[in-house]
Amino acid sequence: MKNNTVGEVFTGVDGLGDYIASLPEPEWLRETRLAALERFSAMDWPDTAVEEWRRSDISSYDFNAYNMRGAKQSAAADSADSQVEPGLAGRIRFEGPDAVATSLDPDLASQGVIFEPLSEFVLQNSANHGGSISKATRAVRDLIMDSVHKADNKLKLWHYAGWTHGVVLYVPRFMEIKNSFVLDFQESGDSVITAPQIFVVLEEGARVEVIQRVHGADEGEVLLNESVDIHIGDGAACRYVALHNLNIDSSSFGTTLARISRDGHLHHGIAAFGSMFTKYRIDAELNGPGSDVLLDGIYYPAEDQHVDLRTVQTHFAPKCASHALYRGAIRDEAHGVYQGLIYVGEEGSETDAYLTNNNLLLNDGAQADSIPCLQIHTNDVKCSHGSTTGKLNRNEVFYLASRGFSPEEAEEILLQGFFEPIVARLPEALQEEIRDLIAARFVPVEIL
Amino acid sequence: MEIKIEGLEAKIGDTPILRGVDLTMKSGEVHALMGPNGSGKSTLSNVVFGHPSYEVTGGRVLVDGEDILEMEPHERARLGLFLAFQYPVEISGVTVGRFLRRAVEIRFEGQKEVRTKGFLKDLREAMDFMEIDQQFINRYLNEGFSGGEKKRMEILQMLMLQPQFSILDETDSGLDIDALAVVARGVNKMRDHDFGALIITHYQRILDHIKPDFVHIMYQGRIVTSGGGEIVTELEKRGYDWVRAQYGQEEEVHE
Ligand SMILES: Nc1ncnc2c1ncn2[C@@H]1O[C@H](COP(=O)(O)OP(=O)(O)OP(=O)(O)O)[C@@H](O)[C@H]1O
Ligand SMILES: [Mg+2]
Repeated sequence: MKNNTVGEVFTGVDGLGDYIASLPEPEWLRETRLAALERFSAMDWPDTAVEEWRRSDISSYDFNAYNMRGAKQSAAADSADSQVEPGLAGRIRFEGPDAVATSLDPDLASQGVIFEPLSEFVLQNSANHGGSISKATRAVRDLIMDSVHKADNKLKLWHYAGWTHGVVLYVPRFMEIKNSFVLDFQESGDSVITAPQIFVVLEEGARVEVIQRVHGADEGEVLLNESVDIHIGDGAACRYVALHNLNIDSSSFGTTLARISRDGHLHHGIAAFGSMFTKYRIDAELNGPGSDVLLDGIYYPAEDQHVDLRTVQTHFAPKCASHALYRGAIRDEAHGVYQGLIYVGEEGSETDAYLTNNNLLLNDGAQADSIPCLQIHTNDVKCSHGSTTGKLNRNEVFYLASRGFSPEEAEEILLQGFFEPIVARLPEALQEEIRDLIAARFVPVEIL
Repeated sequence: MEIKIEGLEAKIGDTPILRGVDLTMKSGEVHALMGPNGSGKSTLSNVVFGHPSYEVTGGRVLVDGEDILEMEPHERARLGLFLAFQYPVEISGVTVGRFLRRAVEIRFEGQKEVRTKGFLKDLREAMDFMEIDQQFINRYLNEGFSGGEKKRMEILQMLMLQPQFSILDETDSGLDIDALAVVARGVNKMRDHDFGALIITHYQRILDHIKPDFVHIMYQGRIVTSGGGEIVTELEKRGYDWVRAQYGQEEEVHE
């Protein structure tokens, strides 16, 4: 093990090989990084000729200009015994790649729940070899290999070669956990790449809620390239909601890939507020009959922010349901892009899938692109999509004004109301936070 | 409160809709406004409230002597005016409870501490009175409501906001007999010397529940005749043909 090199800084994509070599990781993990690196090296950066990237041009990025380093083991180890806050199942707080506080309800720990920084998890499991690796380790390894195999762009492969830190949440069979797990990422520094990797593994019948917050320092340019891998076992249910709010100089890239087994359930939510440039993709694979998925998204770009969110509802099994609802309000010169794909394979009979995207353009100059797409390879399905792009409705403002609301207050209420059907079904702990962020962006346009 | 509409003219785009409306109404009085489709009844309500789609090209609307045409819509509402819309819009994401709490707060700002305190109790009572299920408190305003539920919701708002003068634009349309009775009950509850109303309708049946003191007939953007309840009976019997014959102007035809 090369503990001495942990914390060393490497630069750009050229430093990836050295970075991987420096990490004190077990062989099975290193192999996944090297496999990703090999595919990474053979691939070009996605350009605007590819439909998925057509509206998000990354050609001006110099990906060699960012520095990265792995997590400091000691920082995580010191924090492992923090007390869990009341009402929570556990919480891990990162500053950059370092876990500075980790807590897990001891009851859950004693029942086999694993919730720890990835660096610790892999260290603990590095001693095991061959057939003796734990169930959790095997699940994590399978998820990585699956993701590396499916990765269809260079940024995602970059992530799997060079992820910097992360979390493992493993929930054993039939454990239903009411309290939520919280992941706080606090990013800082300048020209820093941060590449967190989150694993959520639910065994059969398990039930869990995860809240992720990504915040940044007020200044400094951070490049986030995250990946969330979720496995939902038979009849298990997961709610995973992420709030992204890096500063306006930063960039956010990322993917979430959830695999859902028979009768499993996923409620995923993302609220994208921060970053000058966001390109995020959420994939839900319905692999077992009777599984269902709800994908919620909120975005509210202002100034010259660019937000490009893509959802993919993939039906690989019969009798599954998937619904996506993404709503964006776009202000100033900002640009919102939503791409939604419903894919139904030959096995996907009796699919019930729809996606809805609504955009509010708050002024001239704001731009929204909505690109829904259906690819259906079987009969006997119910699939539809709907998208609207409009302005605040003058008749609604007038209605509220006729009840005494000033035009400013009416507009603010309508804007909150626009997002509210989504906000109201997110975890309560996030609702006020998101409403406040929406309120903080409000500028009356006075359409009356 | 006295509302005095004098020579009011308004157009939408290049089309004049109101062509000189004269009408004076006071608290304590109930007026009915009837007239064929497209004669300008809803336009009159909208213009009184300052809807931005209409341009006022002449005349005045005085509330207790003060011209309100320069005021913003919410300022007019805050004078104690209320409009029950012919087609209430749906306000997605805003619950009835939250909306009404704030509306009541605005209406009674600085005057009736008590009212905002006992808000929920008042609301529940008013809902009972209007035979609206309590679950509607947590529903988004008008979203997915049936036509009749929307109309009841308008009257519920009126009961909560206690205006001094209400314009009810076809609140009776599309209601079954029971719902009509409930809506009428709501209006009659408000009726006293401090409250006035202009009831826009096509039918006698609501006026059987709420006896108007005055009835006006609008035609082609003007009030062409006014009187008492006998006009309503006349209309029910004869339709609007006699109005057209007596007051109709040759439409200018540009072809
Ligand atoms: N927003 C609008 N855009 C275009 N024309 C309008 C608009 N609002 C009203 N009008 C026109 O103005 C005229 C008067 O309409 P208004 O709605 O005031 O009639 P009304 O008397 O309320 O009719 P009804 O009995 O059918 O409710 C009609 O010819 C209508 O088409
Ligand atoms: Mg009308």
